[in-house]
Amino acid sequence: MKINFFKIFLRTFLLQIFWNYRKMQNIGRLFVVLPVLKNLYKDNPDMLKRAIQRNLDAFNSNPVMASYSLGAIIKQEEKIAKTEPVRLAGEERELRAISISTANTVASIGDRLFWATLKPFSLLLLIITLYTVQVYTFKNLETPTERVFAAIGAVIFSLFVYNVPALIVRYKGLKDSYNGTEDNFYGLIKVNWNRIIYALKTTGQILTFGIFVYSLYINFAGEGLSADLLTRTALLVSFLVLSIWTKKLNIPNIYLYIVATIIFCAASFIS
Amino acid sequence: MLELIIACAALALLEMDTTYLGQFLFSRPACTGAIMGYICGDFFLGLQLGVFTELLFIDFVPVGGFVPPSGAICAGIGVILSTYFNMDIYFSFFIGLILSLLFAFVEKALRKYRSKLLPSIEKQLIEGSLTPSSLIAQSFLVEYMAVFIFVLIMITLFGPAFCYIDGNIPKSLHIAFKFSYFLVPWIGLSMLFISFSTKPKVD
Repeated sequence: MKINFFKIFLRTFLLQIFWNYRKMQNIGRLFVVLPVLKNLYKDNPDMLKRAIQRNLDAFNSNPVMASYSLGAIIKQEEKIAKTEPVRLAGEERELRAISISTANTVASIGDRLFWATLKPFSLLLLIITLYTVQVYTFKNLETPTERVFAAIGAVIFSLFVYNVPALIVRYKGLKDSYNGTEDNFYGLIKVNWNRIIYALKTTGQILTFGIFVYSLYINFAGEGLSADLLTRTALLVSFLVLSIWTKKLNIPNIYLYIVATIIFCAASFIS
Repeated sequence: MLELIIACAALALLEMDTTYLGQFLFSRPACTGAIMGYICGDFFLGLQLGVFTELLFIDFVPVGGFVPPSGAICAGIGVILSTYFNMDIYFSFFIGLILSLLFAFVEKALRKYRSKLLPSIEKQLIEGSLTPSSLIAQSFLVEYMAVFIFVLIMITLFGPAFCYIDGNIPKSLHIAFKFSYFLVPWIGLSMLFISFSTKPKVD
């Protein structure tokens, strides 16, 4: 059967539309594979109902990398459609096994690669690009209006940095997993994901350190030594140490900011 | 008033990208802030609020069923409050952040509501009395309206309330909020550095 991968690819963008605590992305999964199921069972409504039912099983994965699971599911569905009735239950169990193992594995890779690495990396590149076009977001808002288009370009660039790899993985994942086998874990081990994550993270750390130092320079350079500067610097260093400490305790930084605001408010009233 | 409603509608649409529609990162705070800033007439204010929000929210990773506070809501509401109600950026950022925490509860309630509906929906899907496409359209509409109404209510509550008390806010309070806002990018950059750590996480 000829699969319209582009149609399925477009449908993957709605994978999370009915996200629920009971079966997570199950409705989204059904929506993605439904055209294939309809094609496979166009002359057999009872089998179509059964196929819909088994594709309503719990499903949860990373939305970008889920295509590595969905392609394998579609392939197995094709196999089920050709299976004799006596072996049907066995192949359905196999589908469940494929779905669980691939969804969990790609979720782990996808969350680390896209949410925890590429998204912050693209933010870092946005800040660097803004600095390059002399838009100092950390310092002031009085930026010349002619720099608006350069700043818009920087935002678009950061979107490209994230979306180009995400779209490639989303589309290629469908094809690779559809054409893959158990031996190459449905195309997943064709790419060394850990190496990519490691390279991006290492580059990210170096660039972040650079941008931190440069930000300090553009914010504090030229200021004479004064009580105000010393107070700001001391508080800044204290909160940087606190932020590292709270991170170790798994406390998100927004709570540190809220606590800082409350402390400053209390201090301002006392003084 | 119409412009304000359009801004809230645009923010609700951008927020849909967080989970339900595409995940193209239009809902990333830096992008939402910039777009909302452009719509509301102060691009650089939106961009700064957006970048600051994203830096502060960097340690939230939406894995599994975890619902993090919405960075898009924080940046978007901050921009609307700053531009339409002349709220100082350090106040609007703080209010946006608190509302983003509140919005996480709304999002959780919506997910629980969908969980309750699931058994009957599955039955209808299997029987063929409901198609996934119409279900998705309805679900999108409900989610969009919920976000839109949340944003509109919060803006109409906090905007005029701020205008009412604005003149009476002590100067010392301005300084306190200004200073904690000054800390945001630095805390964020240190978090960004840590987020790129290659060391395995020990719990």
